Amino acid sequence: MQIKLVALGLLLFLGSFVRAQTPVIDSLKKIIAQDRQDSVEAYALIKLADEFSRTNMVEAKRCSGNAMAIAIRLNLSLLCSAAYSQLTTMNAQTNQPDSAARYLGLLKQLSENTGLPTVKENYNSTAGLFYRFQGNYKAALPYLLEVLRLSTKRDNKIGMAGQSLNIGNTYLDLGEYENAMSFHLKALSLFETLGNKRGLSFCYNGIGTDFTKLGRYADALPYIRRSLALKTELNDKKGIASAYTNMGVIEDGLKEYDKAVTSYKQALVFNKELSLIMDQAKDGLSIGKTYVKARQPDSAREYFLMSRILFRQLNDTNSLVAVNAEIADLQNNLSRQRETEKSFMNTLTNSIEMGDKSAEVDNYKYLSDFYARNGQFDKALLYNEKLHRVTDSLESRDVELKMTGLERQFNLEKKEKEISLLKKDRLLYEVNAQKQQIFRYGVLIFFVLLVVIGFLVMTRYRAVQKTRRLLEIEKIRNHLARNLHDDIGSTLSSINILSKCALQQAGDNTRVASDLEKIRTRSSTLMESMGDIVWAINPENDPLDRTLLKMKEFAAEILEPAGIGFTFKEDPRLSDLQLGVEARKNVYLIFKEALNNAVKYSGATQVDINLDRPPGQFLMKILDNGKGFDPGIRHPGNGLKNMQSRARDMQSVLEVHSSPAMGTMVRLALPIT
Amino acid sequence: MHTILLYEDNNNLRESICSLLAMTEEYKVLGAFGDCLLVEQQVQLHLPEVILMDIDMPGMNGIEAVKKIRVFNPTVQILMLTVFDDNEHVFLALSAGANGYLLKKSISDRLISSIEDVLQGGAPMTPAIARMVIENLQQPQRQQVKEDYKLTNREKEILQLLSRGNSFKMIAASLFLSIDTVRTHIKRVYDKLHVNSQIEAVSKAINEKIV
Repeated sequence: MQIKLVALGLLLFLGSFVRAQTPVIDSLKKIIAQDRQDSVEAYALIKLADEFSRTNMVEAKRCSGNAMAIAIRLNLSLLCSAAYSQLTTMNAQTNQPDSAARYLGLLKQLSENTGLPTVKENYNSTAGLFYRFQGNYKAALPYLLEVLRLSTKRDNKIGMAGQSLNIGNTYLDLGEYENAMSFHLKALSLFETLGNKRGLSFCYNGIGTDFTKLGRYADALPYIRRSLALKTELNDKKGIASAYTNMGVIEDGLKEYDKAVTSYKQALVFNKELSLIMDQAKDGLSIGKTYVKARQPDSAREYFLMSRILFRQLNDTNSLVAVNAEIADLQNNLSRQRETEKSFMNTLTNSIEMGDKSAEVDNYKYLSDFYARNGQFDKALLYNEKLHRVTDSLESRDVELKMTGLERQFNLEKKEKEISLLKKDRLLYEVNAQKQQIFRYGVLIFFVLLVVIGFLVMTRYRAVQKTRRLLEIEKIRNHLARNLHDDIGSTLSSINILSKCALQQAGDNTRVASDLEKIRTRSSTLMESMGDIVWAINPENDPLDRTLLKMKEFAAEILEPAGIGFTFKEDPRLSDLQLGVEARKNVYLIFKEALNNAVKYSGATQVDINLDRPPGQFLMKILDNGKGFDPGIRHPGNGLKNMQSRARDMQSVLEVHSSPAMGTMVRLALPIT
Repeated sequence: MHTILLYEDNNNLRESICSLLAMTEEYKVLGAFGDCLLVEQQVQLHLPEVILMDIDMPGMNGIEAVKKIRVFNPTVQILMLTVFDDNEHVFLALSAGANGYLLKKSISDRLISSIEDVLQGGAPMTPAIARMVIENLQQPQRQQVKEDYKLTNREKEILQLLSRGNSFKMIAASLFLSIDTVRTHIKRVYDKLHVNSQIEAVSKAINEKIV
């Protein structure tokens, strides 16, 4: 411990002076050259080994080995432990784990045997470092923490700083970044206090790595830069390599792939120089990964292969698996790419063969994009050019003209179609309109009919009403007429009766009698006439046979009391004959007059009445066997005159033939339709 | 001396008829009325043998009066008087129970003879009236008559001839019967028809579409 103190002190003293350590090495070399074979030499050898460990492992090992030999011979425990420690670390670093383990074991033995705290401390720290090199961080940690404890106990600042650094690194490797950071910072402050650049450089590296692991690349970068600067100053090649590696990580994280690759490559150079195979392999792997991200699969592949060789050498199966996966992935991508490229090419060929210009254009586009994505810009450009060439040709004038022509024709056809459609529409419309019109007419007619019917109904109704009213009036009139008739008839009858009575009482007074007779006769006649009129008016008496019946009755009434026999013959064809009211009245009255005359004047005993219907005629013949009369002589009374006038009224012919021998014949010929 | 009641709304005629009948000795007018509103009481009071009834009268017409009389008095002879010789009224009157029918124009000539006729049980109808009656019976729509009134063939024959306007004399001549026989037949027909002048019979006739 004392020696170490002295050694370190010496180092510090020397270190603070100047960058270049050549003078230190030279002076140490001088001491060794003396070959004193004492502790001083051993100590100088240790120191030299320490120096060389950063630049020339082989030389460092040799020095350390020599120191060990002297220390063992002289039983210098402290120096021995120092030598063991160095050898353990150096062997571990140069990937000779068995040797490293051996020296550690020797160191452990020494520590247990001597029980010196310094040695103990040495052992613990060496063990920790050893496990760290093996990657067994969990195992390393307790040793390191022990060392720290021991250092802190002795207030060995440098030791404390160093161990804090180691612990920080260990936590870093364990992924406990917070702890790592705290220990790194602890170490940093200690180193700053001690002004130990070397330590500082490690601390910067550590802190930078912490940030990197946390993804805080921007924060990490300055620390790593500082670390790199110091390490370069200290010509700590291993440190420089480490720093560059870290830089690469950061730049990769910042997606500055080109910078990252450069940094990694720098690290690789140094690691190669130092023959640090593991680091080389790791760097190679990192470079490859970065190239993948940078879409440079060929370069990536190159470095993957390189790292794989190294991992094989190291027999690091885990890493081998990882790198193989990367290679395989790359291969896949490559092959996938190649497949995609192939399929695009096929499609393109196809489209060209089929003359599918639009497909060809599309394929050019696809290929161009594909190559651009994969960084093959030359090919991308090529296909882009092809694309434009084709589209240009498509857009060439004559094609355009053809297109326009076609378009025009198409439009024309379209127009024609439209026109025909319109015509059809028009037709449909017309038909529809017609239908509508018909319908409308129908409706109109219907309504008109309705109106007409309504009107008819109304008029009929009104007519009916009118008729009813008229009938009513008629009824009333009839009633009035009836009453009047009754009144007149009754009074006439009374006159008639009175006159008769008076006649009986008149007796011989002929003048009175004749007057009374006149009254009687006239009233009688009047009553008769009235009765006749009423009879004639009565529509029930329209049929001729009614008239004939009445005539027959009359004949009986007038002839039988007078004792005159008579015959009444009627032609059956007469029964359906219709005479008008006037006609039958006239016929009847003529008949009556004729019979009356016969009764009054003829003195006949037989009257023959014949009624016939020769074609187109109604023929009435009244023949009596009386004494006749002279038609030429005027006779009192209007009888004959009346008969004639009645006959004339009927447009008929009345003939009266009379002679004393033959009697009288009254002949009426009435034309009928 | 036969008693007579007179219903006539015309004052002049009523007066004249009374004068006419007054000149006879056989007939005495017990009452002469201008309307038949109190006919029942009057007939029951006077108990005439013959009633002369005008058809057209104010208030109640003669036909209705006849119906009323026949309710309590089936025997009194009723002779209808009218100016009009139309079927409807004639038949209604006869169906109501009148015994005869006389046109006013014929009164001066035939009143006394008609009254005599009726008193003797005759049917003092003019052929026209008789025909009318028969015609009503024989009209086509009246062939739905269920009962025939049990007219004998002879009676039907005579009826037919009558309906054709033949006078009794002519009927007698053509059937080789005496006029009296013809009259008797007519009367029987009339009687048979007359049976229906009882109230129930009238309604029967009405139901059977005779009236």
